[in-house]
Amino acid sequence: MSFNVIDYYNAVLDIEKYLNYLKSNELAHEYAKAVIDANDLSSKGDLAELYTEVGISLRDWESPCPESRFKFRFHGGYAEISSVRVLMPFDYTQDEVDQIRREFETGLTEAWNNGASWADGLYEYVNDVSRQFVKPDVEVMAGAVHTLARDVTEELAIGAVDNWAYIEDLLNEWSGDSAHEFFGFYTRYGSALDLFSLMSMNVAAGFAASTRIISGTQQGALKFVESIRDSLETMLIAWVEVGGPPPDIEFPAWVADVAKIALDVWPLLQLIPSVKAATTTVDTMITAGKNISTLVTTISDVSNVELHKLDLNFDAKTSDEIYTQLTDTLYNDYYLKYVEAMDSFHDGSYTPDVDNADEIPFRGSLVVDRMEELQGGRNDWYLPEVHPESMYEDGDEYGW
Amino acid sequence: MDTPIEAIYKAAKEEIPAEGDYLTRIAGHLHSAITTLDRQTAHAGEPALMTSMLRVGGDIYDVLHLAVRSLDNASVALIMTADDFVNTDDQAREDYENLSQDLKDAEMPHHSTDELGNPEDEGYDVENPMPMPPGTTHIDPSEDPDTPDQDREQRDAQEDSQPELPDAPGRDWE
Repeated sequence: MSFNVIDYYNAVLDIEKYLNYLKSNELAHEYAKAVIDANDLSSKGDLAELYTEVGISLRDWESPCPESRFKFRFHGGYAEISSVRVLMPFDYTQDEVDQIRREFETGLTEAWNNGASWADGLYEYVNDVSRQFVKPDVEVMAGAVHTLARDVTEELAIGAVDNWAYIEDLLNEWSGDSAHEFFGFYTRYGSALDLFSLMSMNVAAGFAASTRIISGTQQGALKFVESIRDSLETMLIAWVEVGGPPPDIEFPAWVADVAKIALDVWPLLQLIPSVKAATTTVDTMITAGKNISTLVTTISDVSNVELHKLDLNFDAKTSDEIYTQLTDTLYNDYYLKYVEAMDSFHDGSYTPDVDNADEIPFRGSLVVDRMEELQGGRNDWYLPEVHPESMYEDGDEYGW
Repeated sequence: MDTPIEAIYKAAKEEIPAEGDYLTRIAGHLHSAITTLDRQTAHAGEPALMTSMLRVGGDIYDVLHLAVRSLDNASVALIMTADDFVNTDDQAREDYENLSQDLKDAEMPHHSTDELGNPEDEGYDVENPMPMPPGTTHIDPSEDPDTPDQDREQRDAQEDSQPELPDAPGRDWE
């Protein structure tokens, strides 16, 4: 499954639009009820015999929704509203009735239109909540992770070819300042490449884990907004069918368990050697099967992320409630869980709830700690700089 | 067995440059991976996991970048050393004269690797803006989003946060 940010935003724009329609329907319905209530209170007064009750139908009014499939009417099919009881003088004319009906219809249209921009701003807020996980391009990330594993880690592990023409024997005879520099560089060079192979493997693993979490979160978020859009469509169509607010309607929401998506990454990290491992072990691993790039590629593979669906029904039915549940879910179940998942791989104190958790040495902060430790001992991380100066000093003997 | 002069020339003009090729290639891949991941890290809101990995990758790169230069410098230093021996030692001069023309003429290595961009530089996000409807503002992705409660407060603070109903006409004939 792949994720396209355009699909995500289109779904959110649809939700914003459908919430506006729903709000508008609710307002029209509320208005109709208010009209009925207001007329129920009408009284015939002292001259009751001069008046009669006339039912004025609201059936012909149709909501001015721009999408025809969502235009609803108070057709009286299953709902309580279809007409208003109005007191009229005994000698009323049909023109007068029509006049009153038009007045009601104008009011309904006005009420409906008043909701038309109610949800505007949802798009911007959803964008604010989800940009951190929907914006990264996981395929680009996975490509870079693969480069780190195959073209950096494994290449470095091939190791230095550093017996340059028996240079070591010659260096021993030279005593210029730059001979010491070069000697320092030369003796450290091979082990530095081994160390960097190990460190870059951990860097690749950290980015691989990030890629998978982001991918799982964004795929799950897309499923979520699409499910809300679908439920809203079902809801709006039910309004049309019922001729008013549907009394019992399910509002399914598809929510991914982001914490579990992250838990799945841990066992894959079990095979990444600790930054404290002897670099010779790393060599063995890599020569044994080129399995580092395979492993890292598996972790960052975005096509096989299990999203761990949580079955959820919004108990919300009104536009306000749906708006609130939507933003709460997106914030709590996606954004916060995404941040926690990322932190769990960084913070050294976190122990994941997976089998053999103590055998998983990877933590982002431990990689940094190890690097700083090595940088503290100057020659454990850095290589001495070699300058373009002769290594000869007066008196040095020519020869082996 | 090579003469010392020949060994120095082979090291300076063949073997160390080959090592420089190897390291330059790796550094290039590391540079491109870090540059890509740097931008994605900015998009992702700069989570500590990713920024710390970038830091380590960047520090590895810095050493490789300098090592490539040191390898090239080592070739130069070796030829300068050979020259000093040729100028001061008869045997060295004789060995130099017997050196193959190819080795004498072989070019000195010139590898170059780029500096890494600074992730703090502005522009990462601006280069690739998200699809946004007209009128919305750009947000720095490293800033945390508002909570739903904050969003509600802002919506409630707006004028007309809840749409109004038109007056419902009731007919009173008194």
